Formats: sequence, structure tokens, C-alpha cells
Amino acid sequence: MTEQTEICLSDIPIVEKQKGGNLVKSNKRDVLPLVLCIGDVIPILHPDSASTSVREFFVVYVRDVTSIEPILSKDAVDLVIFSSPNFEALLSSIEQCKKRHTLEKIPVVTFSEELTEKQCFTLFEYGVIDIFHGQYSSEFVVRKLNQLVRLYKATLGDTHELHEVKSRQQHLQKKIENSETEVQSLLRKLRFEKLKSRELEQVNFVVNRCLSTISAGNFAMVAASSERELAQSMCDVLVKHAQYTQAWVGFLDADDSSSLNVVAHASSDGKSIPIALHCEGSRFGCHSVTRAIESRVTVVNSSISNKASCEACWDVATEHDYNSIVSLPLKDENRTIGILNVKAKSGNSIEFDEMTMLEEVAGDLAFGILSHRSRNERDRLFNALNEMNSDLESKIRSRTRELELANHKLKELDTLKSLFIASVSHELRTPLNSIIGFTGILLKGLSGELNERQRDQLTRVNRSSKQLLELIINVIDIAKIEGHRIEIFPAEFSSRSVVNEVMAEFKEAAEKKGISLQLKGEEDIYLYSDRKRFAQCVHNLVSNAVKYTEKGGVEIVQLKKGKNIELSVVDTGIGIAPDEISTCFQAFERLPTHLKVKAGGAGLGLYLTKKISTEVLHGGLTVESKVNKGSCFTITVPCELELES
Amino acid sequence: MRKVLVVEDNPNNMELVTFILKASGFEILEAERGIVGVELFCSDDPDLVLLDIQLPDIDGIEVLRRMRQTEKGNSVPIIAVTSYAMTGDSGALVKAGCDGYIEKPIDPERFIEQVTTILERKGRHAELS
Repeated sequence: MTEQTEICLSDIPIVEKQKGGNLVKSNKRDVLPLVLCIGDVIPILHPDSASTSVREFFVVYVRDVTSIEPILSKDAVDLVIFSSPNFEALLSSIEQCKKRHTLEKIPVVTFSEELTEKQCFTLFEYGVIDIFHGQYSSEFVVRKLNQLVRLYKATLGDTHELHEVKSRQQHLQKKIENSETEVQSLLRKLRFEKLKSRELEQVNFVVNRCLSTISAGNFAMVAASSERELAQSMCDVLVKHAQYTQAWVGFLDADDSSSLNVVAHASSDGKSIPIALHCEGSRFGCHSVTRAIESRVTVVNSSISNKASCEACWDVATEHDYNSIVSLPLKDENRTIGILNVKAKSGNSIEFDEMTMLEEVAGDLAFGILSHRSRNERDRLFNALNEMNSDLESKIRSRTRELELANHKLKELDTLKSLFIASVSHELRTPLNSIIGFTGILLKGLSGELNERQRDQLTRVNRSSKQLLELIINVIDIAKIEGHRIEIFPAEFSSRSVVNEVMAEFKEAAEKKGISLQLKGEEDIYLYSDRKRFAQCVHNLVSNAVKYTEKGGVEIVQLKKGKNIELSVVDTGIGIAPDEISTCFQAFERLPTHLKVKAGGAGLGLYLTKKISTEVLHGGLTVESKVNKGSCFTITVPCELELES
Repeated sequence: MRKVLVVEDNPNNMELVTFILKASGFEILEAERGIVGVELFCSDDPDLVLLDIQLPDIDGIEVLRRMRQTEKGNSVPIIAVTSYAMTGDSGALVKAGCDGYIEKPIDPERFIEQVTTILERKGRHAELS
């Protein structure tokens, strides 16, 4: 068969023949449709025939189907012709071909003897699309074949177009896919942006919440009037403004740092969420609280969801829908004074920014509490001071009362003393008056004549009695003046009358001593004063002068100086030493002791005279003296005594 | 003979005064109390009264006032006999109608002289008026 084919092929001059019998493309082949003829040679299609068909088709003859493989696979066959005179051979050839090859859409025709209708149908069933036989003219066959080839080519062309469309479609598909990827990426970007913006919103929200919390916290700081009130306000702020689930504040006892007293708490749902959790083995009943107090740093426990961390905390957190605990120590420079504990829900779990805010709030709270404490301490000190003050005041009052009482008592005593003196003086004077009076009667001889001795002795009794009376009178006067109870009776009188009375009194005594007693300056000075007291002063001074003068005499000099009267009693007596002058006006002071016995007297005279001249007559008493030369006592008093109302 | 009413509660003083006055020839009316003194002043027409100012029942000044209120009270001289303590307030005595005063202790040497001086002054005043 191969020979035949070879022969056949070699008969076609324009077809290049390759070794191994395979056909290859030729220029001619590209132009003419390739027709594969299996079986007998068809005369009208034989290259030797005179018909034009050879120029219409490029026909390859093969004996049987076994050798068509290379042609079918290597080249595009445009038409297959099965050629055999009898039907059975034709059919078996088709069947064999079909068993081995797929002809796809390549049009298949048969060339044979004239066939029955039934045979024709069988062939059609086998995919034969046209049946030719020898009676057909060659033109008809060629035309028909051309039609079929054209149809097939058209179909093939469609397929190409389809391919093209398909590839375009694929291209578009690819493009679409690329676009989709791009869209996906854009969508991703968009989602990211959205997420970012939501995040920003969240941040904004958190920042706003923080600001609101700090602002409200500041207000609470200013408004609170006690540390507990401040703690409560802060808890309320943290729940209301910062929207935490719960906030509570505990104070550590200043003396006993092992006990924590919860002083304030607030919960978002109003329900009381347990504060003291019972973490086993925890000093303050909660691990995070204990850690915060002991370490003095903020402790954040944001994963209570982990049941293993602490079962007790987890149970309560689950029940009350929160998952974070922040424990913030409230501290001063060197001590932890308490704790601020905040619980937060998953929805507002604690962010980094909020930690800063919370620590600020805790710092403010600690500062506020400490300032309240120092204010309380200051108030306490102030109160203590006030108490001490009022205590002191009451003490002063009671002392004053005591003093007043004592004063009152003293006044009573003074009155008693005055009464005593008045009564005693009366009781002393009355018998003395009798003694003086009766010795006077006896001395006068009214009860009969007395001998010299009797007269002398009675004179001594009389004189001593008078001395005693004078002493008593002086003591009473001093007591009256010192007790400011002396009565002053001003009246008009002349100084001369007083001096004359006193001189008359001492005339005898002076004569007896052989000393002179005279008034110098005749002028009369009128006074409005206490005559008796004025006379008393003059009396005392003259009495002293006569008493201490042994030679020479006593001179009374009176002068008016402005509104005052100056009355001097000048003697030539023993005088007073300079160092004794300062003490001569003191009570019970007397001039040199050796004179005491001789002169007699208690030493009250000058003291009383000084007192009367200054305190009763509102004047003064001065002295100038030289030992053994004499003394000059001068009383200066206003002529007109002004009584104090 | 002049009749002197002596009002004095102290018996010693009474004895002293009456002794001196009797020795000088005076008739004596004694009253130990102020009230009695006022009664005797009215009933016995004394020519002179010596009145102790410190009396146990009523004050001497009150006695003086009552005596002066009687019918012939103003014509009889009344001399106060005062303790030393009272002499300062001689103005009050004079104001109450006293003609003069004699200060205790009584000096027998001068007593009659003092009384006579006051009586003479009173007599001169009476003559002048």
C-alpha cells in the first residue's frame, strides 16, 4: 500500500516527498484543499485524468486506514473520501477508520457503485454526509466536493474566529480579574481607612472622655469639703464621665497600714458590685490592689477573662460584666495613703491614654486628700489653740473672779479693820480720858491738897497718859490715811490762829528747856483747808523741834508763795545726818538710838505729818538739816484745798 | 445758880464733868441717854447743856436737833463734848445748832474756862441779835 501511495504521491509533481513517506507542507498544499481518498482510486479525481478536478484539489490516496494516521495528525485534511465499489467493503473501511481515528468535523463522503436507499441511510448513520457513485459527472462531483470543502472551511474559519473571540474573552476575563484584584485591594484600602477613621473616632471619644473626666475631677477637687466627699466625687466622676463599671477608694489606716477602709464607691448600674474580693492569700483581699499598695505603682489587670489568674475575680467579673481592673496607689512623698480601684467593661477596656488620665486622677485625688488632711490638721491645731485660748480666758476670768473675791474680802477686812480701829480707839481713849481727867482734878487740888511727892507722881501719870493718847491718835490717823478712809473737813481759818494755838501749847515746855519759841513774819495767811490736820502737822513739827533742841530755839516762819503757804519750823537742835535724811519720814524711824529713850515717842510723828501734808492737804514736806547745827522742816500746802469728788 | 444738863453715857466722864462743874458752883441735871436728855431739856429748863455726841441710843446730833426744835430750844446754849475723832467735823456740829465744842480728854485746868468762853460768846451773840 505504501508503494502505491508512494507511487501516487510521486505522481503529484508539486508535492514534495519526504523520506519516511510523510507529507509536508508545500506551497501548493496551502492553496488547494487537501482531500484524503481511502480505497480505490477514483478516476475523475486521478491526477492523470483530464478533468480539472486535479487543479481543484490536492488528493492523497491511501490503500487502507492503517496508513492515514500521519496525514490526519500532521496535516489538516479538508475532506475524506471512502472509495470502494461494494457497500460492505466501504462500510468496514469506515468502521475501521472510526475505530482508530477521530475525524471530527472533517466532511466524509463515499464513492462507490450505485447503492440502495437502505445502504445510503446506513452510511448517513455512520456520519457520511454525501454519497457519490460513478454515474455522477465529474463537474458535479467537483462542485459538490468544493461546496463541502468550502462549508468545512467556513466551519473551520468560524472555529478560528471563535478561538479569537475566546482568546479575546480570556483577555478580557484576565483584565476583569485584574480589575477585581485591584478593586479588592481598593476595598481593602477602604476598609483599612474606615478602620483607621473609626479608630480615630475611638481615640477622639477616649480623649474627650478623659478631658471630661479630668475637668469634672478638677471641679470635684475644688468643691469637696472633706476627704471622704472628695473620694466619693471622684468615684462618681469616674463612673459618670469616664464610664467605668465601678470605682472605689480605700484609705489605709495611718497607724495600722494593714487595714484598708473603703470610704467611697460608685457603680455604673447602681448595683453594688462587691468591693472586697476574696482572693485567697491576698493581703488586702485582691491581688491587684495588694500589688499596687505594696509596689506603689499602678497595676493593670486587663485579662480577668483568664479564669486561671484568679477564680474569685473571674467569677465576679463575669457576673458583673467587666474584664479589667486598674489599681492606682494614692501616695504622698514617702507613704501610700490609699488606693483608687477602677473596673472597666470590655467595651471601654482601658487604653493607654486612659492610663495617663487615671494616673493623673489618682495623683489629683491623693493631693486633694493630703491637702484636706493638712487642712484638717491645721483646723485641729487651730481649734486646739482656740480651746487653749478660751481655756486661758476662762482661767483668767476665774482668776479675775478669785481676785475680785479676794479684793472684796480685803475690802471687807479693811472695813472690819476700820471698825476695829474705831471701836478700839474709842475703848482705849475713854478710859484714858478718865485717867487724864481725874489725875487733872487731883493735880488741880479739887479733891484736897497733895504733898509734893503725890503731885510729882500724879504728874507722871498724867503726862504718860497724854503720850499714850497721842500715840493712839497717831496710829488711828495712819490707819485711816493708809486705808483711804480719812475724812476731810475743809473750813476757812488763818494760819496765825493755828500757829498761836501750837505755840501756846509748847510755851511751857520751851521755857522749861530754856529755848526760845517764836513766830517770824507777822503777816496772816488765810486758808480754806482742813484746819485740824494743818494744825496737827504744825503741832508735830514744833513738838519734834522742841524735843530735839537743847540750846538756841525754835522759829516758825510762814510765807505765802503763789497759791501755797510755806510754813517752816527751824530749830538749832541736833540735826540729821545726810544718810538718815532719806529714812526720817519712814514709819517707826527715829533719830539716833541713844536719843530714843530720852526723847520718847514711837517715831510715827514725821511719817504721819508727811502723809497728812501730801495725801490730805495735797502738799508736801521737805527737810534740810546739818548735824549739830539744826534742822528746817518745811510744809508746803495749797491755800485752797481742792477736794476730790 | 446755873443749871447744867449733862448728857453723857459713860459714868466716869459723867463723874468727871459733874465734879468739876459742881466745884465751880453749877447745879447738875444728869442724863445717861439721849431721849432722857431731851425730856429733861423740856421739863427742867436747864441754862446750859453739855452733850456727849457719841451716845448709845440716839445720835448726839439728833438729840441736838430735837432740843433745838422745842419751844425755847434756841435760847439755851448747847456745848458738844466730842471725842478727838469728831472734832474735825465741827462744821456739822455748828450746822446742827451747836454753840461750841470741847474736845476730849477733858482738861480740868481749862474746862471751866472753855465753858465760860462759849457762854460769853453765846451771850454776846444774843445781845447782838
